[in-house]
Amino acid sequence: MIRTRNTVLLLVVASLALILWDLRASNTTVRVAAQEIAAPLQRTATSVFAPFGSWARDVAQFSDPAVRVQAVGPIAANAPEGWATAIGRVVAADIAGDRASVTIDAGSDDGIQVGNAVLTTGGLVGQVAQVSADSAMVLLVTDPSSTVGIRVLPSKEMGVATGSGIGQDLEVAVLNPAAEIELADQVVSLGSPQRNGIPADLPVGVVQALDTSPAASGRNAGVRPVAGMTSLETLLVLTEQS
Amino acid sequence: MSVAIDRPGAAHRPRVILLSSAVIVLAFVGQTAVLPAVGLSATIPLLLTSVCVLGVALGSRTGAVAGFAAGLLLDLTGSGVLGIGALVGCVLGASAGGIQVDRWRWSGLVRVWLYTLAAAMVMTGANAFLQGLGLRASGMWFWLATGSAVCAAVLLPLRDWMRAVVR
Repeated sequence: MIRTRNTVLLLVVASLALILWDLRASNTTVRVAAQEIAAPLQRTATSVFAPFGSWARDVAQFSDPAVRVQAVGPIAANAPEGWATAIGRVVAADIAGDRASVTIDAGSDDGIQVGNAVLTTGGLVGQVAQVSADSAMVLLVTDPSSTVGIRVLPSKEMGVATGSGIGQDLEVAVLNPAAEIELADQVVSLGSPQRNGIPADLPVGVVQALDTSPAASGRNAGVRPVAGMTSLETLLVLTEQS
Repeated sequence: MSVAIDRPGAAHRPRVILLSSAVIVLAFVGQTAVLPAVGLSATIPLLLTSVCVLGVALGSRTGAVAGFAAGLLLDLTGSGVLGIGALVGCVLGASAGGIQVDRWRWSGLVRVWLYTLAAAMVMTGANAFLQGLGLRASGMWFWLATGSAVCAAVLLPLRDWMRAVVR
């Protein structure tokens, strides 16, 4: 009984130490190492269970480069020109509650870097948050910690899109309180100055709801993302502008 | 009086370690890769339910260690704060050792469900709080509640098998 109590106490103290350590400093090296170990297991499990779900039905054949290129064709057709790309298949989903991220089976060996934009057929779905040799974690735009600079068309008003969780619309705060925004306006990415960041004018979503009372610091809108974030299969990563 | 084995004994320890490791790895891969692959939500707490059942079958000490390891695995491969899952898993596994399944058939099942659900909610809430994110009403809560109930119903009957394996 005392032995059990001591063990539990020791583990609780170790957990608290880990929490403090993580809150004080980002520990991506440890996470990347864990991801490198977990990704092959998850990939294998996905291939085994591929026949049971539409999401991963053809993942077993997906290691064939020709199949990958064919699957990503519709996405590549809408991708910006002049960018090197990598193709990734979703092999795992984040399970930390309301978070929204997925793991893909392509990593730094394919040229992927942290901060790269990730696309699906309709446009931008997220950004690479962690990368290991053969896998990468993509933080989806719907994750509550995700923020993306945006521009609303046709008014070209600038703002910030923040995720609201799985299955929810993005919350967009437009900087100009007097911005003329209408329902069904297109929302595109503002663009990043980095050669490996998010390029400008990638479709992000469509305005679905408007806050009609102008707020002091801007105007808010609900934006439906370009893709269903719970049914992602093949993703295209823009690795670097050539 | 607890019906769980508090100390499986030195001779059984390798089996306990092997069984616990196998259950954790299988549940982790099942939750993060298999459930999404078959069209179900990865928020179904298969791993936490497995920790709870390990605690019920093998006692508080094994449950705490298994819960710590499982939670750490979640922390390392997810986007939550490192240590939150380990802390929640450890407390869940240790608490599960006190669940008396054999006294009344449904009380054990309901308690495993409630313990797992509470652990998953605390983990989600703590991560959201420490990362400065708000909690929202979403489909996640439905998957948590129904998923943990189904997992408890499926996994709890395995406790006798687990005890037999480590003897």
